[in-house]
Amino acid sequence: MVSLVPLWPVYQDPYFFIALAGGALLGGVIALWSARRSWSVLRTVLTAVAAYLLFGVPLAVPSEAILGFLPSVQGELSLLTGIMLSWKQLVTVMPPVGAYEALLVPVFLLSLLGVLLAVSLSLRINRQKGIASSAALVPVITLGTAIWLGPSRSFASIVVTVGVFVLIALWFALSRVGSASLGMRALGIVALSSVVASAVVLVTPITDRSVWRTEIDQPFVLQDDTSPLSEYRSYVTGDLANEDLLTVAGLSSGQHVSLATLDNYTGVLYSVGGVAADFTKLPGSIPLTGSAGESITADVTISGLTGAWVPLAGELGSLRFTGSGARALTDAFYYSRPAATGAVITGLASGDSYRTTGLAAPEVSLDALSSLAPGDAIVPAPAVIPNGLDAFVSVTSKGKTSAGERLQASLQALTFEGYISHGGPDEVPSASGHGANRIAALFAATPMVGDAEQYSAAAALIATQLGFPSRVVMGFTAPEGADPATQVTFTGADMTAWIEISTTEGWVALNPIPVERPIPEEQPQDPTEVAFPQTAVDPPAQNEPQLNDNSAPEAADEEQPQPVDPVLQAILAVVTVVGWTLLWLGLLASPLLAIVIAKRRRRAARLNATDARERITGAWSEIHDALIDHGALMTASNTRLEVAALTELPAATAVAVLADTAQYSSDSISEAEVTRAWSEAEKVITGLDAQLTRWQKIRARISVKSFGLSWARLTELLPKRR
Amino acid sequence: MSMKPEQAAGFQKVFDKLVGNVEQVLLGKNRTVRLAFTAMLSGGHLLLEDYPGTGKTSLARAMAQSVQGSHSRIQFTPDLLPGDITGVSIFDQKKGAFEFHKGPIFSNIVLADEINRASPKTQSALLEVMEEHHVTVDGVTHPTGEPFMVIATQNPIEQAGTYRLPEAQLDRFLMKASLGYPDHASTMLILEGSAKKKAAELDGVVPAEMVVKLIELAKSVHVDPEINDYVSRIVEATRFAPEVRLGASVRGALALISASRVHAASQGRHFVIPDDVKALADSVLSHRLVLDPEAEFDGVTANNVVGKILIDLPVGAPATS
Repeated sequence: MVSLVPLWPVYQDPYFFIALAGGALLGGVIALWSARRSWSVLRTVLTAVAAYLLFGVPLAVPSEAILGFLPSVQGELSLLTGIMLSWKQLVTVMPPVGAYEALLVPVFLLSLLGVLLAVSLSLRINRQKGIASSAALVPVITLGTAIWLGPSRSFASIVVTVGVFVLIALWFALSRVGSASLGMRALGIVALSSVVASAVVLVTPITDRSVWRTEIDQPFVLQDDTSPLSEYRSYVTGDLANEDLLTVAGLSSGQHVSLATLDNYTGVLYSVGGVAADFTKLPGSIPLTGSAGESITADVTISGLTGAWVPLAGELGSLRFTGSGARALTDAFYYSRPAATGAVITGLASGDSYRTTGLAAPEVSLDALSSLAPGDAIVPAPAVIPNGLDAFVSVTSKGKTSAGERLQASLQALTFEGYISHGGPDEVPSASGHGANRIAALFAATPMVGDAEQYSAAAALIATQLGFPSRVVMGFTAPEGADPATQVTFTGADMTAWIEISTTEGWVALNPIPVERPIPEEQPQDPTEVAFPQTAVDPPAQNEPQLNDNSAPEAADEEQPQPVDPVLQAILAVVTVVGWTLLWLGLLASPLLAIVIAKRRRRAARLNATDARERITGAWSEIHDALIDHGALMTASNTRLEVAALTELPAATAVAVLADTAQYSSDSISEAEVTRAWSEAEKVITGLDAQLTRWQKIRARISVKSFGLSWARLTELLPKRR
Repeated sequence: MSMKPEQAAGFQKVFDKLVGNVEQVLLGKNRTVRLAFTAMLSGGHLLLEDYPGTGKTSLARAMAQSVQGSHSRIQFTPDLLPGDITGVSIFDQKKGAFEFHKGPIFSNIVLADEINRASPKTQSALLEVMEEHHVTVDGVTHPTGEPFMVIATQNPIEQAGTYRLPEAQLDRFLMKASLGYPDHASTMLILEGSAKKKAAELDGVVPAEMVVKLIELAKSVHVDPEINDYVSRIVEATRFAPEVRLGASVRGALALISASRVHAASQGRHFVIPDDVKALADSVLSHRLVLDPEAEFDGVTANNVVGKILIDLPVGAPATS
């Protein structure tokens, strides 16, 4: 069961544990029953298949279960097809998948078969020949499968991996399969693996692993599609300008509905998704990652809006299609968390409706930008930096020191010097597009003329240049006076764009679009007054890997880091490695420590019993338990004197006589006798230890046999074969 | 009133003396001799299943000598009559009245040799006297005197011309034991004439009255309720064992407790522990069990059944955990 825990990040739903525990329970019971009754392999397999079909629907396909626990025909079909199809589906659906469709089948099946196989091997294979130890391979295989099916980044996988090996070593140590040398070897492997794991975890950061999820071709790659931003003009000036595109209920004034989030600037256009923007199926809801922002629940009804892009209210929390085509739309819906964009591969059509929840990025005004610092979000670096952008930034942010202040100054200059024109028949000419040439032209023009398409792209590029990971968001903004209780209808003319920048407080939205106002006549260029230097500007910085740098590039140039003492650095590294290693070892040893502590508590309870008779019989019980943990063969029918004779230690006989006297005579017990009993018991236990090797002593210390836990005891609970 | 530790020590001393005295005659038979005295001091009777010439008579005689009591031997044969055991009333012409002539049963220790050769009618003559320690003839009761113990023997080999002892009579024997043949070393000593004395030459260890007191003293050994529970579970287990047609009776349970008391005292202990019960369970219970014919045919013996019960049955959680 533990070996399947790495799949938890994929599911993140209580049903995961139900399927896991249910499968393990079924597998365990079938294996024990089969071993007890000496069933053939065929009979065992048939029973497992029957159990899979009988219990599989409520455990692995709960959405298809009648009343939540009865199998249904559809559920059985899903269960059967899931054996073949659910594996690939699991890695092509965006986690967390929850109990979506039949995606719990893999975990249920692995749990059932893994436990069945492991328990069967350990119980039925010839122990004398040590073949039973092959049962230890089963959790290793299921662990490997779970990691292969799991997420590409998971710290828990490493912890679970070490944990599984610890459990395997414990199994070796506590069972009689392994000899002393085998047990020492297993313990050594565990200790070594813990040290290596600690070092690996410390030395190398948790990076993306190659798992099935990353290797498989996702069924839908949307970033190849045309950028919706390039169609901006068609919305605001074309036939769609006056057409109702969608109706949204649940929005307050100023809240946004995003159509697409564009973070990849190619020099020609801003497109959706660059870094890990693979679109995957969304089974229901996903956990929100934003730490701040306003929660929005919006009911959206599509009117004239067409295309694949699905309007969303902020960072997506959940989306549930309604109406007759809900199921088809759900199957066709894909979402990219890195791109924060959703799409329906079949395209939206008039009448489609859905309810979506999300977390709106906090809106920040330009006046509040100065206090912000760049965040650590990852977005692709712009392929091209338009000419004039660096000069614009240098001139407008001159004298400002922090990245926030520089961004504030540049964007304020952009909104102050910029004017709005969609290039319509009655407007000042303004070319559409947001390629590098168009943005360079924007910066070069006096006055700057453009619309949301150009200003949002320019603002995002400026922010990127100043170290703020940024992206352009295209969509709609609820007008003043909007109320969540009323519906807002958006037309093509309402289409707008804004930018989101990554700060230390997460993604924040800001509006860099100048206010619409009369555009002055174009003025002649005057070197003394224009905002741009006439000299050659710095070369474009499109090849600089700036986006992954958390600090503002120019600020970094100004503040040189203080050199760190290499000796101190080495000491810190050693202390860190040792600390983590000790922590690992502590975690690994915790089950063993728990056993030792439990035994000490048991001893204390016996020693401090209120009745003197119980204290004396407690002393004997300590000897008895020590003998059990040492592997002595005794039965419940053995008397104390018989057991004492086994030890061949006179002290054991003395304690046995004292305990018999305490229990069976009517004499009063003195404290001296209690003290003597415990003193003699200590001698016996010391004497028993003296007969053992070091490994046998360790095994006796961590043995749980004296707690009545053993396979034999477990199998005794089952009815015997008649 | 419960026995005191010092009384137990005294009991052990006398017991060991008695055993040691008899062992001068019977070499290498310590366990059987101890069982015989355990039966005697429990107020019970002993059934010896043994081959001829193993020292049964010597045992009875030596025990009688040791307790300074009388001893008699009855050779059971098919034509033996009840009156030959209990005694008969004979008309005394001089006195003009019937006079009771005591039979051989009127001794402290009676050796009933090859008891299974007598007819059931004759065997049943022993029933009253074994249980009640008196004989009633012509409406007159004649006590046998104390101590009174019957040591009966039967040959396990010869079946021809024998009458199997009825269950009721078997139940009246406190325990069944076997002297068996001596081992090689003991045989060598016997052949070399190393036996210190003959049974008739043994000195008395304690007077017969002392034996009666010892019997009474043994009854004061403390028995914890957990021991009673253990004995009860053993007896119940004999009734539910699949190989057994008739399990041990309540008399069997009482006999086991009684014998365990003596066993404890003989060890110098004034209370009974499970080891006492386990040491005597086979001797006290086996002869009371009637096995299923099928199990008997399979070679199962009553000793096997009792032994298996003792292995399977927990002494009790508080006793060992």
